[in-house]
Amino acid sequence: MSKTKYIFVTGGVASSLGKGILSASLGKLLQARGYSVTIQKLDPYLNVDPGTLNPYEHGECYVTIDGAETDLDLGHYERFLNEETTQRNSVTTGRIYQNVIEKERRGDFLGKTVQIIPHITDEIKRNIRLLNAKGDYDFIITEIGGTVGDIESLPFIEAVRQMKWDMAGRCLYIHLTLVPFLAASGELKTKPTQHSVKQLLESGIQPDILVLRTEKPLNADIKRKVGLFCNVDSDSVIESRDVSTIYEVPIKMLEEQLDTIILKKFKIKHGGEPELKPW
Amino acid sequence: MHAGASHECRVSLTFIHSEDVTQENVRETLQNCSGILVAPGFGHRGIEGKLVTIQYAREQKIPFLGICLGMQCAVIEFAQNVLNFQHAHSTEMNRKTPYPVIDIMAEQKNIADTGSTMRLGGFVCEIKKRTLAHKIYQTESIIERHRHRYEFNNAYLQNFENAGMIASGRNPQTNLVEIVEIPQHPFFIGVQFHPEYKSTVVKPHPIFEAFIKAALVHQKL
Repeated sequence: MSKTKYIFVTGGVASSLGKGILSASLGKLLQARGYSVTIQKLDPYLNVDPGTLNPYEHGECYVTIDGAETDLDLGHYERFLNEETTQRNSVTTGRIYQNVIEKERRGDFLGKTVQIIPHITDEIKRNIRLLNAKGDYDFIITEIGGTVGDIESLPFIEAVRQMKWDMAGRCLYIHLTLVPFLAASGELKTKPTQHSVKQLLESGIQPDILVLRTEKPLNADIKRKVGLFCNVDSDSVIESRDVSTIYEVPIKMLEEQLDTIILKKFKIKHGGEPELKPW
Repeated sequence: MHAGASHECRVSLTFIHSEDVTQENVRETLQNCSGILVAPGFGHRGIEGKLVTIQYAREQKIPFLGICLGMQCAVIEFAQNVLNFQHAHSTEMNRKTPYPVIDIMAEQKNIADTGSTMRLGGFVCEIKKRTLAHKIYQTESIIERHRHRYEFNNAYLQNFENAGMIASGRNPQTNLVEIVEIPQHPFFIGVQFHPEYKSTVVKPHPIFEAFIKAALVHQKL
C-alpha cells in the first residue's frame, strides 16, 4: 500500500464502552487481510504514565518490552495482534505537557507565548507521526481515551481534527457510543448518541463510521435514524452487541463488515475474506 | 484463558481474595481447585492469606504458579515453614525481619520517586537444564518483562537449595533469581517476571500452558 492511513477512534456517552477492544478487533481484521497495523493510545489524564495509577480504578498496568509502564489497552493490542508495542504506542497528556514544558525551559520556542494551540496540539501530532518514523505501517489506529466533551480530551480532539487537513484522504474517524435499552418502556434510545455526535461536530470532527454498543439487536430503522441525525450513511452505522468474552468481538465486527467499510472509504480494493482461522 | 483454548478446555476461574483466606478455612476454600495461581501485587495487604494458600498448595501437591509477589510469597512461605526461619519475611512488609529472604534491589535503595522507577521491561533470564522451567521453555535463555523493586536475597540461596527449593532461572548479569521451583512437587513454580505480558491469543505463554496441563492431570487424580 502506498501511504499510511490513520484511523482515529473516539468515544461518547460513557467511558468503558470498549474503545480499546474495538480498536484491537479492527486491527486484528486488517492484519488478517495482510496489512501491517499498529495501535496507539492517547490518554487524557495528567499522569506522565499509568504506572502510578491504582489498578482497582484503572485496571492492569501493562509493561512493554522497552520497559514502558502503559495503559491496559496496550495489553489488548498486543494480545489481539500478537505484536509488540513500545513507549511510543502510549501517550498521555502528562507526557505531552512534560515534553512541551521541557522544550520551553530549554528555550526551543524562542520567546513565543506557549499555548495549547499550536504548541500542545503540535506535540500531540508529532507523537502520532513518531510511531510511523520508519514508514512501515499500512494502518495506524489511534484511540483517544476518555469521552468526547471532557475538558481533558479537547487538545487531542483538536489535534486529530487538524490531521485530516495535514493528510488529506488518509484519515478516518470512528465514533463509539452507547444505545441504552430502557426496560420500563422496552425501547432502545438513540438520543445520547445524537448528542454525543453533535458534541464531536462542535469540535469540527464529522465521524465517518458510528459503532453503537447495545444489549439488544438494532433494526434497520434505528440505524437509518441514527445515520440521518448524525450525518452518516446508514451502512456505516454498525451494531456492537454485548458478547460473553472480548475475544468474540473481532468475529462480530467481521460479521458487521467493519473492515470492508473502512477499506471502501479509503478506496482500497478488497478481495476475499480475512484469514481468521487460528482465531 | 489463552492457554485453555490450546488444550481444548474451558478454564473455570475462581477469584479468591487473599484477605479472606485463613488457616481455618483454607481447605474448604481451595479443595475444589485443580491449580492455584497467586498473582502479583504490592504491600502487606492479604499477605497472610497468600502464605496460607501457598502452604496448602505445596503440602497438598496442587499445581502452583506464583507471579511476582506470588513468587516472593512462595519464597517466604518456604523460609517460614520448611527452613523454620522464625519471622522470615520480605523487607517490603517487615523491615526488621531477622531473615530478609526477599529484599529491595541494591539500585532501588536510594530512589524516592515512585513514578517509572521500578526495574521495568524485558531482561534476559538463563535457565538451568533438567528443571521444570527448562521443560516448559525448551531453551536455556529467555527474555521476559518485569515490574518490581524487591528481589530474592541471594545470601540465603544455599539454604533454600539444600532444603528443596531451587533457583532454576537467573539473570546472567546480576544473578537475580527469576524462577524458583520445588523439584519434589508435581508442579510448583514461582516467577519474578510477568509472563502474562507476553501471552497472546494465537500464542499462549508456555508457562500458562504447562500450568493448565498440570491442573488437568491433577483433576484426574
